Amino acid sequence: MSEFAASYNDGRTAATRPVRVRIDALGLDIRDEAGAPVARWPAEEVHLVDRPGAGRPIRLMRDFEGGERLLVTDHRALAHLQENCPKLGRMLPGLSRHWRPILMWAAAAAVAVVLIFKVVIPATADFVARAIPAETEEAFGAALAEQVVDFLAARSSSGAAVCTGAAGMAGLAEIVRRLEGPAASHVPITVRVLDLPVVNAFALPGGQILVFRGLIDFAHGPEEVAGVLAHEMAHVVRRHPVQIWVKVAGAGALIGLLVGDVTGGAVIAGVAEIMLRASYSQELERQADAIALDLLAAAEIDAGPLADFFDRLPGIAEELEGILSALSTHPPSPQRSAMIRANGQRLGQALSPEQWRALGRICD
Amino acid sequence: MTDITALDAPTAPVAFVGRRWHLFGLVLRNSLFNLLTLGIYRFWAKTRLRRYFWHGVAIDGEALEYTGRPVELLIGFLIVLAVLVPLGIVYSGFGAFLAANDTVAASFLDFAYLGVLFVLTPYALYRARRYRLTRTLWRGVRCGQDGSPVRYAFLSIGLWLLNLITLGLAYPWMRTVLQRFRMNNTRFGNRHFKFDGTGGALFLFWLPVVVCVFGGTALVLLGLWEPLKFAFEHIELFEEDVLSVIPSETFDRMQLSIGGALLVLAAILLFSYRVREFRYFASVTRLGKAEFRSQLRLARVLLIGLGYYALLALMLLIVLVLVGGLAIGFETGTETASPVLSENQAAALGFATLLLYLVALPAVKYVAFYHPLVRHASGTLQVSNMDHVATIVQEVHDQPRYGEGLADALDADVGVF
Repeated sequence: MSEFAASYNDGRTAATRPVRVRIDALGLDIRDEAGAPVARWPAEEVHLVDRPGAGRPIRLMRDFEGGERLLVTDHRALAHLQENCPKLGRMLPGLSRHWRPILMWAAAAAVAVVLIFKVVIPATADFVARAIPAETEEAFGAALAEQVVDFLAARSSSGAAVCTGAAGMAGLAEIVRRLEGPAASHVPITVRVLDLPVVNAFALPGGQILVFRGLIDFAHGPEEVAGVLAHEMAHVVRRHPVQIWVKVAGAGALIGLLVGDVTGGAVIAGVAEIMLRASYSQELERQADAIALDLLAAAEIDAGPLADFFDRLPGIAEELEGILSALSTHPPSPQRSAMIRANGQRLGQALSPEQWRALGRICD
Repeated sequence: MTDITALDAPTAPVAFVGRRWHLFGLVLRNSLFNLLTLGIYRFWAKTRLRRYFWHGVAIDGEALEYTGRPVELLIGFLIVLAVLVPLGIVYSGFGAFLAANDTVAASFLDFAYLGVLFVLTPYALYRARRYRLTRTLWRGVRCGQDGSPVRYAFLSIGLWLLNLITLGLAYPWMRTVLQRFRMNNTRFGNRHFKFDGTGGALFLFWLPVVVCVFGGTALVLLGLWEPLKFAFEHIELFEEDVLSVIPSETFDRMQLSIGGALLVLAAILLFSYRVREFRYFASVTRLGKAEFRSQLRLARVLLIGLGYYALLALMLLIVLVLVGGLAIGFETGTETASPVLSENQAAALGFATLLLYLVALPAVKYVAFYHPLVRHASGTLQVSNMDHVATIVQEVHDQPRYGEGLADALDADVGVF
């Protein structure tokens, strides 16, 4: 028996009327109690509103527009419907109606996002970095350096942070003097050596360069230290510290938007931010390496030892393989030493042997 | 004033038909896919959740229908992305520039940003509500919402300011006026709802909340006054364990316990207010001749809330025990010959536990809180004069084609409902 009792809504008013529905290969023949025809639904236009479950009537709609609805309480009708209505289970109209606007807006959004990451953010960062007056940057950098020094002093074994050996300071000043000329920095360069066994050096805004004693101990010769100093000065000259800060803030905001209001969104955004920071920063590190080579050449200092330095540099490069190296803020060391060997010039000494020995004792 | 008279006309029941564990599976799948697709799945997730809840509510035996498509939400989002994001970036750059040059101006910019957010959020929420209503059908007839989102936004801001100035006393008026704006603009077919409520009716139930909050906070602060004073005067002792240094006599136990009790009471009274508000709002809402009555029970709502928080606490405990146990397992391992778990394994397991927690959290929220709440609210709702509703005519109105992009971008809490 393929005729069932049902309730019918005509989609024009909220009235509901009892009807009888006959299901056949042509579709649904809907008639009222007296047998008068009410509506005819072609078979391909019959769709379920939702998955039929126990305790719920079967809800049917005609096509996806309009409000015509049919409610069948007898679940035996389901088999007949499935037999005769080919599109019964399709409850959504599918993407075919929307592909044009989706494609258009997705393309626009993708272009916008890529443009922003690649062009707008770096340009804004560059603009901001340049727009800050040199005096402001100097003052800001000096204050920041004080804070960093205080922070690190609390962790140094000797309690004092900055190394003050006079002969060593003179040697450093000599290297800085030779590099400063070609660098033509917009702010004066101030180099300090911090008494910690860390093999690192970094540049803060305003020309403040901090070098750790560990790096000097690790270096085999003054040319290596000069290479590191040239690299940090390159950061200063190109105003990288400020740029990174603007880029990360902008990119962070963008990622927050992309990920949206989702639980765990903060985790996703955080990870993405770390990767972005790393990618922006690796680009700047490569730039700094290239400029450092120019500075070394102009100061007639041998660039070869710097490559050796990177070859010997331990740890991070080996520990972070493959994808994980994308998280590091520096490019992998083998890449850097290869680049230096390819492009660096083999020139003269940075310091005399006595000056180098004095530099090694700067923290004693 | 708020003694709600019973309906004297024939009433139709409202019920919620839904299987809790079906919902649980749904939310788990949603969370998993959300994480895997870095959040893009959220439009599909939201749509599926809404269909679950909408299709479960049956008025007079016939269920609501949600006809929103995830694609509409996606496109709404993409539009916002393409248009608003460049503005956001320019703002960030400008902000960074100011921050370096002039910290005072930078703070102003931050406030301006918050201000813009504050203004945009009610605007976005009102538009999002319109989207949801135009995708809601009953017996094939579509709902709708008129009214200007801009006016709503300004109304919302004005009321919030009023609320602030009156130290929270104006809250019932704020809620009532906004509800009136929303409901009077809400349509079923071509017929508007009518909302006749006033804030004054609810004020008597709101006042105790404010009194308890202020009283409780004041007492707690008084109770902490002596210890804080002591801590400031002996600030050099901060290097050691501060809490053990402050003498316990300075804590006024009486004030602190009464203050704490008042704050707990305030929370309960807040629940009570919201339940009363829901019942009152239902009783003053009409659709033509159809009226609504709600018998939402405070005890039931409190029980649901307590059950949910207890479950949350239990889950947190399990996570802490697991992660802590892993950490200890690793620690004790290194002291003996071989570690129980390698460092990587321990980290991975800890991370997996955390992820599980993240995925399970929304599932618990929906199953232990929203589902029983919606079921109770539906079951205690009655509608009268349903046959009158049958005469309402379908309206062929403009509907928004894409939805919620702005609200999603602002992280405004549109949520499922």
